[in-house]
Amino acid sequence: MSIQLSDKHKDLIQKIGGMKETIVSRNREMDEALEFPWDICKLFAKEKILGLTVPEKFGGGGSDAFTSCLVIEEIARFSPSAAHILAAHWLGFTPLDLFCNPFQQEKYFPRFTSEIGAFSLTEPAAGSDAGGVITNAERTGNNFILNGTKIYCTGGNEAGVITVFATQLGVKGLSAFIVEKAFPGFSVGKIENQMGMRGTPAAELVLQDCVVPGENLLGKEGQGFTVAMSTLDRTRPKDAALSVGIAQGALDYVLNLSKKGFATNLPPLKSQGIQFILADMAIAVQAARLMVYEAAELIDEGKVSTKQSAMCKCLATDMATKVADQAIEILGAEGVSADHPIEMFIRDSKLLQIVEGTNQIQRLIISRILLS
Amino acid sequence: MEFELTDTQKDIQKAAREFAEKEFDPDLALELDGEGKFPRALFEKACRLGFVGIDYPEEYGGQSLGLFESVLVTEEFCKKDSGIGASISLADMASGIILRYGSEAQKKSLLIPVAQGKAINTVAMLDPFDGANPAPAKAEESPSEYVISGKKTFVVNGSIAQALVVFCEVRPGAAVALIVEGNQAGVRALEKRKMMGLWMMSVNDMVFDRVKVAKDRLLGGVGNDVMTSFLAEQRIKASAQAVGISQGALNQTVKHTKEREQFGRKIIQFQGLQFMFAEMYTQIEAARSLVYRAASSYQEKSSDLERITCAAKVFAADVAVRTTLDAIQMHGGVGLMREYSIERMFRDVKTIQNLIETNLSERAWIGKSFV
Repeated sequence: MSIQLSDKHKDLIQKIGGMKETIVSRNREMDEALEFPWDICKLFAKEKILGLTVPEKFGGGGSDAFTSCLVIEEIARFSPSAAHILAAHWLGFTPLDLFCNPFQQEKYFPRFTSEIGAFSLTEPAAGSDAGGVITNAERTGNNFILNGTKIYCTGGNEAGVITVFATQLGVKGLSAFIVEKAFPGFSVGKIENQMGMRGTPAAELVLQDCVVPGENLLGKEGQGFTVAMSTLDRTRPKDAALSVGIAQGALDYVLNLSKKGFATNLPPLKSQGIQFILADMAIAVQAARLMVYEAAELIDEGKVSTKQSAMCKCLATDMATKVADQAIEILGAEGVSADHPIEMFIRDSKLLQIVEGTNQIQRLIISRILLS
Repeated sequence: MEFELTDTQKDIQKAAREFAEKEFDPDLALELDGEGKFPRALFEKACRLGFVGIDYPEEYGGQSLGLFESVLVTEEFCKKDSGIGASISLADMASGIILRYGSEAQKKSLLIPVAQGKAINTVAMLDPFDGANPAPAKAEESPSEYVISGKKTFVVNGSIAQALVVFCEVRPGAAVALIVEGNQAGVRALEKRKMMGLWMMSVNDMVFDRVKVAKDRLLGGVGNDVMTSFLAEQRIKASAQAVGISQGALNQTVKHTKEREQFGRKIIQFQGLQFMFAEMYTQIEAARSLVYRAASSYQEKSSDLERITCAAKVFAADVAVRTTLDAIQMHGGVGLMREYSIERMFRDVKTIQNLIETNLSERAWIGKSFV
């Protein structure tokens, strides 16, 4: 396969290029303040990027997986945090995209063009093991009453609409619910002081007798695990695309900086040892990129592959940390100073190796398929 | 060759471990790191107990031991806390070359205050990255003195050091090491640089505005010997920090995975993670051996000193980067949260790997040495 870009894709890339300066100027602030950047969010909404994956009839861009990966990669090259806003938002939208009934679609899809969505599965006892979820949903009349605490929900503090996974008495497995921030009994708890992706901090969500209308059950009772896994099969390539962007961005940054001078104690970029390292970095980035767009194409052809999605996520996210790591070394002392963005890039990339299924879980998924 | 430490060395190791375990409180460390404060009280205590200056002769306030013993102390300190450990290890960065090249007067005046916990010293070596204004610091020589003008970058503890050894060119190809006082006229520390890690230490660019240095403050002679010795020693120290931090990361990760339960068992039961521990352990042991060998080479002034110190630093720093990244990974989501200090170990180690001399420079050096 080869990555073919249509004119529409090229227009999008150009549009993103137009936003680059504005967003880059906010990178360090986002990193320091640990504040969700609503200004960038609004910019994405205005430029019709926030709702890119929402079907056109609901006011969105109607774009496919390939396009959303492309957009994320392009933005991640200069701002991983800004790209992560989109990745987390689309992670919030995907369960609805896959499992909403027409009534739910009418009600919620348009909101994803201007509000933030989020996905909330993780709990203190439920990290890699979704079976550890203890948040409970109890049917009471026409409603569900939800009780429990969720953690590490990206964008959870700013999201208007959140997919929340809970157990139900008498029902095997999990159930998924569309929860609105505005519902009584919903509140946001601790905001995490995290290593990277600090523009999209993870939030604790507290559900205390949270009243969720009966019609907000997403999919069927007990179908929650399927909702989650189907979602992740489609969102893992996006995290992978983000990682490819981070790695490409790190490589490009080093190459651009080579036009200025280097301190005399560093091997200059034209030294062969460094050249070999740069070549290895470029090879690693391109190999991962191809896996990402292959997985995206499979999704768009209706042939979503759990294995391919897991593989590209595992490879690309591990690769990005390695490439950013090398980029820092090439810059030496400057590389570990906050005057350059690479030390932020690697803090951002590390997160992606852990979220949406740690890369150890990805390996488990892959090997199970291989051995089945 | 002996693979066992001597009884004295074992005692020192034990004493350092006990001191660190007792005094390096994790919450205090997080606070100091978050506020960017040098661990002054702990440094002073470490000096009083003889850990700092362990390698200074007794007449200069030390224990008359060597770099090897200093390495053991650094490892134990860094194992308990990366920031506190590295801060204490780097607080007397210039002492090694003062010991090797200093006159009697220089050694007395510079080493004793450090051993007493009253002073810290540092080295200003790196030139500005973009060759901008002011230019890299150079020394003008006159019959009575040297005059330093220009800029040095990334000076560890630049704003709080009582004494700095400044490396600068006196004429093309010839360098001098000049001892400068931190509060001397014309010495100015610029605003603290924001670094990826080691936040407890201040890293400053320094500007020298016609700073006068008397001839008796020249350290060693004109040439590159002092710089070469400094780099060899710093590589060993950086590797010791790296090995210590790696071991700390491994220990903490074992502890965490023994407690964390998923899928109905403690996650340390999963062989996938056990394989990661196997890798970490093997690499840390290899790094440690290499560091100890390098420390011995320094003390013996071996002919392979440059190569072995480069190798030790490259290997130990790479192991530390991989180990701390894997430690974060094995902690899962918790590993990403600042309050658990795991991610800080990685940031500190990455800074150590690149702050004074980079792995790439060291690789280049080793490779070239075969030509």
